[in-house]
Amino acid sequence: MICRHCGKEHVGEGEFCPFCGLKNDAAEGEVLSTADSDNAPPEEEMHGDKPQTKLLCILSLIFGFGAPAVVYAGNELLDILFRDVSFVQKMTDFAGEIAVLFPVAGLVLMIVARVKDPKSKFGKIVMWIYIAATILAVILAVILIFAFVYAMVSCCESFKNCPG
Amino acid sequence: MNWMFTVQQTKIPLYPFVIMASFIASVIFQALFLKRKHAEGTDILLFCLLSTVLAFTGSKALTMILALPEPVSFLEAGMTGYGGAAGVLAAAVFYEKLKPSHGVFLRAGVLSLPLLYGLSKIACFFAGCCYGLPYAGPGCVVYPGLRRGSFAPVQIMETAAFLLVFLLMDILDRRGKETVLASVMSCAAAKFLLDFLRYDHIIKTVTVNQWISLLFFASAFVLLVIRKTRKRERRTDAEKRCEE
Repeated sequence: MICRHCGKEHVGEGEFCPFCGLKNDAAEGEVLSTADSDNAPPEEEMHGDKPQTKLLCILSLIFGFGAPAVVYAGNELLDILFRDVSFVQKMTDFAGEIAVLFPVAGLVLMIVARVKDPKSKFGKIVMWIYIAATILAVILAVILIFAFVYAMVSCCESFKNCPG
Repeated sequence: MNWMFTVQQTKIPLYPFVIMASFIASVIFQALFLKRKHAEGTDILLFCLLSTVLAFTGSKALTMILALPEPVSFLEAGMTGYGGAAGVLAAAVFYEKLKPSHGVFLRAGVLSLPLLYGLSKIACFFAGCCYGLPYAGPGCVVYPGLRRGSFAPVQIMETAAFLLVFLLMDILDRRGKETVLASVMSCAAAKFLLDFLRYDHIIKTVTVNQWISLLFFASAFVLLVIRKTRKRERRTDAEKRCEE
């Protein structure tokens, strides 16, 4: 038996939960009674994605992929146009650091969309985009580690492929 | 030592791979824990993804903050234990608020922390960072080409201590005991005490890590006292209702 109030499993079918002391009206085998299942929307509202979900998914994609790309492209352009202006250099460095937080915000928005509307197809697609992007990022990191170390060793030992 | 493994005469440092392995181990534990508590597959996937990303980002962000006013870029910044812990806690609290589950996600996050930190200290041992006080007795560590002299194997001691905390908390959790606050207090106490064996203590009396440990310990202790008081009051009310 799982208590609905504190969520703890206990043996026995007494009236009160031995852990929290509240009245035991838990369903057999049920653990996570979520707000979604308790307050399920009527059937007609579940056809198609909700407008709120669509907005969250679009914002998630913008923050996760669009915004970092725009920031990095903008930084490169500003570096070329204002190479010797220290204020612009500092601004682009700062923007580059802040841009790291955009994908995190995008991930959070995607999670909110998925949890609030689990049946949304758009939400599922965005979720799998993020999972694929994370896997690719890990693989890229591993490749870069090997490539960096190989280049370093190559430069130190035989001066091959070293610029200038 | 600055352990590396060799692939066709190219030496590859172990540090990044051991760090990755510690993240993977933490994710596996969180997934198995949540599966044991009958969480949905999508929730397990999303929670593990969120906690890993926030742990990584948090660990780097704290280094960048502590380095101020000298700016350090995100790529250049090292990783700090408390930054990673803050990330995992943020993910756990956020998910718990988003999908209330009587503390299951919070427990998954908090219980995985000593495992993540303990295994990541092995990476520090291999890389020669977070090293201990000068020491020449049994078990001392040398870092040829990196540092002069020999040092206390504090990274391995931290690994042993935190893995012990992890195992103990997991056992207590399976027996239905309260483990979130106990785990926070144990980890904070272990980190506070073991920090005295770190090289930083040659210069500093109390390090930033120790101040943060004290803060975590005190906060968890206060919450524990409040929780126990509330539980006692609820039990008294239930008994009174029963008598009626």
